[in-house]
Amino acid sequence: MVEEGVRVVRCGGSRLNFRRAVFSVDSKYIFCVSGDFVKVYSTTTEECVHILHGHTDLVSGILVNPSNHLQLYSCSFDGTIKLWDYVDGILIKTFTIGPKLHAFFIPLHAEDSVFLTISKEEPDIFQLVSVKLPKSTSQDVEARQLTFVLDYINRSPKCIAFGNEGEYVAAVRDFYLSVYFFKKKKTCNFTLPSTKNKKNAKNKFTCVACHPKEDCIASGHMDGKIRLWRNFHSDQKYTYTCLHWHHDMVMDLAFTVTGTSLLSGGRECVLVEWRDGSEKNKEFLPRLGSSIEHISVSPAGDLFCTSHSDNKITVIHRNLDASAVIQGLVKDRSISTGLMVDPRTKALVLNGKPGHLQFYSLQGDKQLYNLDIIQQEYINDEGLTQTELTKAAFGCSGTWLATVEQRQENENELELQMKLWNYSKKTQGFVLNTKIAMPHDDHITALCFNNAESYEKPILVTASRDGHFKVWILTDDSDIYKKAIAWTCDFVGSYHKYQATNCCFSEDGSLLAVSFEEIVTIWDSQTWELKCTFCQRAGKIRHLCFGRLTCSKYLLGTTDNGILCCWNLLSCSIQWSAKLNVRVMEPDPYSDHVAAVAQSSAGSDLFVFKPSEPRPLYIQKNVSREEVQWGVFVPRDVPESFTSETHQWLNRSQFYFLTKSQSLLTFSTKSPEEKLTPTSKQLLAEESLPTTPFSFILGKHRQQQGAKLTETSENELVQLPLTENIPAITELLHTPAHVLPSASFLCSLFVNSLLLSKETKSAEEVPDDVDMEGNKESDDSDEEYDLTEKDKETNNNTDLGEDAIHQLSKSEEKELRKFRKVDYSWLTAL
Amino acid sequence: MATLEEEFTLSTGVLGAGPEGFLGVEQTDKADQFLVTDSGRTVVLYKVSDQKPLGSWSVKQGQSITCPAVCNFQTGEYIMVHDHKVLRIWNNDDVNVDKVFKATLSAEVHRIHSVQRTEPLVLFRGGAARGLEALLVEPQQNIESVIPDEEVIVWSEVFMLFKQPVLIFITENHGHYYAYVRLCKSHSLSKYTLLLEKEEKSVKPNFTARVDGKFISLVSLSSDGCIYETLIPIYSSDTEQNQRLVRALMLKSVVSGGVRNGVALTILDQDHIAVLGPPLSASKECLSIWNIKFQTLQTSKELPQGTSGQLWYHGEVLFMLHGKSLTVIPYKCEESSLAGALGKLKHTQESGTHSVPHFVNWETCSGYELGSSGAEQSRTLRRKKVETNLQPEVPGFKQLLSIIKKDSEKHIEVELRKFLAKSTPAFHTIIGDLVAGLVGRCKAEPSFYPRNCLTQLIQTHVLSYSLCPDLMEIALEHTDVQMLQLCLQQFPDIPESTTCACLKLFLSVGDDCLRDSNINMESVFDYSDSTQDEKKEMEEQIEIVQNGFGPEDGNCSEDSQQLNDKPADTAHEPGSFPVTSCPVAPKRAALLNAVLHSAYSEPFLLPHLKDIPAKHVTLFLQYLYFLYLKCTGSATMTLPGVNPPTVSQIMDWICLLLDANFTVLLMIPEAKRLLLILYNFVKSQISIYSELNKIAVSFRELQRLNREKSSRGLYSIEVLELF
Repeated sequence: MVEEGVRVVRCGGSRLNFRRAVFSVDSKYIFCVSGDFVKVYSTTTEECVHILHGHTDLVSGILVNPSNHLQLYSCSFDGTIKLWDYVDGILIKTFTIGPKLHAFFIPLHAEDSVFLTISKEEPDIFQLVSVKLPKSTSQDVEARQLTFVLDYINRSPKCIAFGNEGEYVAAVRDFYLSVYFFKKKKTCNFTLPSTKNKKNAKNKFTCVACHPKEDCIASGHMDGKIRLWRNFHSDQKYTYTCLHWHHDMVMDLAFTVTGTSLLSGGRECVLVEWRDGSEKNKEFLPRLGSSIEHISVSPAGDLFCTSHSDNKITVIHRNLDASAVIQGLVKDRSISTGLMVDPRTKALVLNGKPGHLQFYSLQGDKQLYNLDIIQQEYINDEGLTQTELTKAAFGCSGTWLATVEQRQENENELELQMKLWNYSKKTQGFVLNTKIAMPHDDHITALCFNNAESYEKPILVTASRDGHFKVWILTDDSDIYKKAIAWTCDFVGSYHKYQATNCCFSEDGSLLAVSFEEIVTIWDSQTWELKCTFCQRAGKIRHLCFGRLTCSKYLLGTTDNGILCCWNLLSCSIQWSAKLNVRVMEPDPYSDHVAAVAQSSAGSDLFVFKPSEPRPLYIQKNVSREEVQWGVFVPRDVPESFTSETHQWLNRSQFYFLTKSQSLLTFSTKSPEEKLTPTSKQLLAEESLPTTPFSFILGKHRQQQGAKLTETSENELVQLPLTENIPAITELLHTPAHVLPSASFLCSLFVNSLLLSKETKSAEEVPDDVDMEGNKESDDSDEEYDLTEKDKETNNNTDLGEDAIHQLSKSEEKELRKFRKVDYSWLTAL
Repeated sequence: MATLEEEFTLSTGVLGAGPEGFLGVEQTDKADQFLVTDSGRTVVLYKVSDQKPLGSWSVKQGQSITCPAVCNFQTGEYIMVHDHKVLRIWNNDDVNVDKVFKATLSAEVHRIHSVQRTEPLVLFRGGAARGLEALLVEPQQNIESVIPDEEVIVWSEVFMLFKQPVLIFITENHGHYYAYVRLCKSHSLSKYTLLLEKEEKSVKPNFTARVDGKFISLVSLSSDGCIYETLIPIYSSDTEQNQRLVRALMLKSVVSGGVRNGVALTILDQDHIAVLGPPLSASKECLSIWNIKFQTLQTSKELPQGTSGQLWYHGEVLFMLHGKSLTVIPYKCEESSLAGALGKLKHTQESGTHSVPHFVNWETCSGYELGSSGAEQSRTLRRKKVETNLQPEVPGFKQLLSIIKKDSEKHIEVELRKFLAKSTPAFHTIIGDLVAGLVGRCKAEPSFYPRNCLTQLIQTHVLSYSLCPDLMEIALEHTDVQMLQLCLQQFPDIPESTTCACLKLFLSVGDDCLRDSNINMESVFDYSDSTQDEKKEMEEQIEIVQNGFGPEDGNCSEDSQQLNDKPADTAHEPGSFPVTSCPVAPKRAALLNAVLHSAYSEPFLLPHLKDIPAKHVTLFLQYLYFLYLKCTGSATMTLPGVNPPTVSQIMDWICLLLDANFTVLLMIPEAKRLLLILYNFVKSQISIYSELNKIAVSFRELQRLNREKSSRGLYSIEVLELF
């Protein structure tokens, strides 16, 4: 078996709110950036229809191709602009620009030039440049001719707007607004008059938007004001009016398509619609959950959408009704619970919305649900001390969940609460079973369940900085009113008055290891007797874990001084130790491998090893430039079968890790090309329908229909040359209306079948409409296509009346062949 | 722990066991009765507990049994196949096999598998399988061939899984092994290629299997003497044919490599496996029980007369051919747990060759950048690189260890000093080994006690009690108080029993012994102040104690009054209470201070404190009380000197001593006064604290008022009335 190198890949959970979302022209789809990918969601079903893979770094901007509404441009930090066919999820073209691209604009009537934000040599100084995208047939095009437009601009695309059909561009930075007129080649600069005034010191520009029809620029400010600028063609005569409702900064602004209303949003989580640009006429959509970071408007004008700081996109109707929510992995706050895997759903579990635990499906790359742990109203304001969810653990194959929340106003006042949740099969969710106030006198540093199968009674252990570890067991709590079970404290242990820092159970549950600063203590879980201690004098213990399966007799510990120790429990002595500054250590529950992520000056390195041997089986240097904060092994549904020693650790589980900037990464051996194929294989299967249960039913019907069509077409091809007898049409006419797909769908199908040229192209992935003539591919279908083209031409030249029937039958033959092709693709895809 | 009980043999008078051994030993529907089929013509039914045959059946001359007889658990009948194709079914009452039911089949049978709760399953050489009932309905039915002609079935097994029999068999073809899994109800057959190391293709591996969740765990004993495990999915999700399976090492070097015959293995339970074959050390054949989880040999039994390499496990009994006879060994095993195994190998390892723990610097390891070209070559190179990193980085270390084992104290000291001068990253593991080496020799040679070396090593700050538990034991034996003091200061993890032993020693050790020893006196301030000073201090101190509770304060007053009076009188009488001069010599005080400083857990310490003689307890209490008085004598509540015991340490130890020995102390007349003083003292403390609490509340209120005012940013004049 050929084994490829292991690569670090982003595995979803990326920020959806990094840039404004973009609507397709028909408002059926919404596009948003997601790490290195672009995701295509259906606005009605919230399902992800396509993922456009191809960029090698963060995607920093997306726009619908103004000259072809079925195509999408995207630009990325990798220095390329890519053109996609988003309906099929196919990459059409790649333009290589060179420098890191931060933002991307295409004004109307710009004639193939696009505008980009790039950074100059010095860091943090950005300029707006325009580049002409050359017309060429090849897939990869270089376009390095950059024309300078504006200097010293803000890197955020929110701070640049093109106005009034692309006549001018407005850019804001700090206290300045600059407007550049393309025709006059002139820049007007406006400074806020009161910047020096202390009272107005907070009125920095935050965002800008231009009226689509009139010469009007709206700008948002730090102090919550919105200014509408007019008459800005000259430096002196400009005027502006102020709109003020927001109490905190205005995060984004957007004009509706007609320009009659202005939308604004900010930290208040309220979408404000200002009608006719007046302060009196405003509408609100409150309680959107979290701060609004971006606002976008569909070209059809029927939908808005807001991107929120908790990685959520809300689709909103014109009448200010939220209609759909697309929720990504919530990354608003710090992750203190670490990464866990729900044994039941195999979902990734971590801190979510404030006070919530989120369950995130890695396969589907979407949030499954949020579990409200703290169950308190969250007040979104700065400077408030919130109750935080700090620890969580699953026990007994997912039947129990323990959570710890804390609130610390100042050093002496610590509020702690531990909650135990039972999984209820009836409600398919976790139900609060026991609430324990102040389980310890100080911060809880670790908690773990005894997950061994041989123990019927679940046991929970908590370790705390107050120097104790407590054992909690499930006991009968029934009284005359109800039958109940609840958790109570069974044993309190301590060692030499040191702080307890870590705890873990051995694989068979018979031993408990608790670390007290630099000492590891081993306790018998039956009698709670101290069995032995280990102390290596190499600093305080940072992580502690037992080996699994064949390595279950080993105990691993890492210390603050960068030493990894492995103790043999049978001989009660150290087996080996290694110098390694470990940040994350995770054992694979399904194999005897252990993954350790170490921090070095260059970045984070991954080491995979077996506790039985003092050598790493696999090393990957520099998995991330940042510090890796958490990691977890997620079991695979289908085990892989790598044979080599270095790859065997990938067989049963997959290692996911979270870096400091909260990007979720994993290791994969698949090459990007291999990953790409499934999406391009889908081809025209779904056509324009989102994948909903309903569409599957329809799809089945379509498939049958398609099969029939091909059959009949083969039989009756020669005999029936008349237009009325085209089998597709007869079939259509003879099928009862109620079993037919919607007319709009059939129509597009029918038109597609007639538009041979178009079909050929998308099927064969010919790059661009415009470059058709230049295409020299000697493909069968292409020749066919040429023929039909000629036929059509002759058709046009000669009288329609005479040879029409004959000509039609010929072109019809092509059509039907085409049809067959289309049908075939359905069959394969469905 | 697993145990092999006394073996016994079954008489083999009727059985003709060839050099190949028996065809099989199979269970019957009655417990304790087994069907033994020899390689010739005979089947014997044995009752194992009685060690005698219940019945025996033979086929005619010229015929030979080709498949071991099994019992049909549903009917209680016995089934066997002779001459590959002839099926015979009989029961206990039948005498002559020739006269029992006979069915001739159309294809050659490999084996009949019979398990509880289902009908017997006939596996044909071609890989097809039939239920017995279906086969008997039409014995001449056409049997298809499932596996290619060149492949030969080498091993097969049936499991019941969710009421469905699952058949697994392994075929061999020119050194390539394939596993087939057949789900009998759904009639699905999956084929897998077993990947073995190249050199093993010449030797036939041994197989055994068990069901482990969604997988069949196929365990094989290879010619290199190691046991490997291969996981075969029962429900193959992949439709792709001929999937490859990787094996993983399970147990290392169970039998000596290169042995071709007489090797067998069988799984006993979740954690245990029985292996038949010569172990590494001995050339004699052995039956050994291994624990898979902990990779330990549980028990073994020598079989001097040799075996046939066949091993059966039914119920709780192991069957094998030992010499010419069928041997039965009952086997018993408790469930193993890590807690039970903890520390079991401690002594075996110490007595044996002391293995050097590895210290590795992984930070210098290079990553695996797997390229496509020449990957194999570069990989081996890289492995070499890693291997070189594994070597302990100190060259002189091994020499030093050998020096420690043999040479004189002087020489060791010199070498050790040289060694300690250069520090290495592996320092901490090596120091642990050096001490272990020294202590080991100390134990062996009572005269050998390299105090200087040990002191030097302890002072490196990398030792702990857990690393060298014997060190303090030896120091206690040698009554080396200096070393013990050092240990108490340095080790964070001394068990309470040892702390207590030290305390006992410190309290009881003779003054002359103390005089000679060079004890660190840092924690002891100069106790030999003139008594005049002491007195003055004492008086001041009493005032401070008085502070906070009025002399007119209830019943306390009398006692405290007493207290006030008494010291003046008793100060002149040495040895009585309360103490104004230190009740112990400064050197002893220093040692006791080391005990006070050491960390402990109360629940573990209390039982040990009870063992201290009453005389010593009172002495220690006197000393603690003296320290306390000294403490309260200063405004900061601390003792003078470098690193003295703190008030809380003193108080905790007073409480502990009283808790542990209260009844004893009550009985001793000398302790009575001390107890009384302590009682009064506690009383006074309580009243002080209650007063302080009251003040604290009012102060907090005032503070709050203050804060509110100041936060307004206005000036104001305030009058605070305290009372």
